[in-house]
Amino acid sequence: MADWEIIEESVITGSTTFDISFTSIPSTYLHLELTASVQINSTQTTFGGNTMYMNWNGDTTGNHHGYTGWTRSHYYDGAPSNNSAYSGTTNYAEAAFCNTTACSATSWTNVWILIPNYTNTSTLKSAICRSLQGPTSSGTNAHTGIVNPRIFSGNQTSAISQINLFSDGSTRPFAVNTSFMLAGFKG
Amino acid sequence: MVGYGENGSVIGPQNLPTSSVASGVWSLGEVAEAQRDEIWPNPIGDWDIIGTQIADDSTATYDFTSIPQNFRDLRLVISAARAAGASATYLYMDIGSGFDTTNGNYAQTTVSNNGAANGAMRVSASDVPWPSNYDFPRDATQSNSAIFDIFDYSTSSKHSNIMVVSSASVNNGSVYTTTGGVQHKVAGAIVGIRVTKSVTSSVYHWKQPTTFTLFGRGSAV
Repeated sequence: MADWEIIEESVITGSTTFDISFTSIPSTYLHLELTASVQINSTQTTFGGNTMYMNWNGDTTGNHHGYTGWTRSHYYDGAPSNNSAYSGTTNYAEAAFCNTTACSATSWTNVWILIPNYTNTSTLKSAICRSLQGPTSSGTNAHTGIVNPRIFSGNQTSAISQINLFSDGSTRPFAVNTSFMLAGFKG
Repeated sequence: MVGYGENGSVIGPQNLPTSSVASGVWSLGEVAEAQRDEIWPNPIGDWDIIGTQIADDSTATYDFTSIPQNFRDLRLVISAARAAGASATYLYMDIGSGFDTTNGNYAQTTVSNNGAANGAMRVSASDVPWPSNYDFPRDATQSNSAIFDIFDYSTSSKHSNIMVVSSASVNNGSVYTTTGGVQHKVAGAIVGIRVTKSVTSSVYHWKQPTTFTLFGRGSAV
């Protein structure tokens, strides 16, 4: 019976974690799904907070990552804005804008990432991501969220055996209680 | 609740499963019963059904109560959704002190598109528990769908943060799609979810064959 199986679950318990790595991912599934509840320990109070990035197999080659996304929030009122569109120019991909501890201790960002056909070595890898920030206590329009879907172009045909998620800066670790779950789909 | 029967041999003690092991000999009926009661050591990962409710044509509000706190993620699926009249779907949370029905304690931001109208997408943001720019479901003649995802719902120090994808259609073939989210601005572990309408009078009751299914997955943080 087709089913999702959890490969790994983790929760941040220390205050100095900047990089989450899922390593030795089994190749026995069809697709990967990653969910996360994220907050970044930062003094950043601007709504939108800080960014969580992603790469695969530890690949930091400059032209192996492209991504695009759009953002919509109450705080930045108006039409959805195109943001962070890069094509093969970076060594990482933006996964989501995340809440920070400085905005609100109780507001966390939900992140959902699907990586289909991650073991297929004849096609370039891609992923789709949705995220939603939790309400913040700062700003004129408090308690708003961001819709931030992104599509990655991995520009690599290697099977994915490792996923790295990392925060944006050496002074901005993941907050305690940030949690992740990686699941695989068996057809 | 009526049990299927008792397992174990006629001369031995009854077997009891734990979350990690089920020793002894089990019939399929006994396994099904243990799974229903959430005491069977299933490998975690798949979505377990916490509860399903089916619209009866005469009710505007459906509650999921006593939500188990042992999962990490919740998923609410509203399928084949129909209502007597088009109106907004509201989600109210219970974080331990009853359903919070104060609309100002919620916020939503969404982006939608109407298939009948090319052009800019429609945006919405307001302090109500209404995860759509458009009414959902649109009317009683179409079947619509929506998926609501809540991660790490049982951690008491986190706000409820609900990601939404929905599709609603109308008779002329137009499709209204929405992505966005709803937030409860009071932190707490979710123990109940109420699905209701912005207007609960009879002309807005949920119609058959609407189903509301709540799933759980993973292990609580």
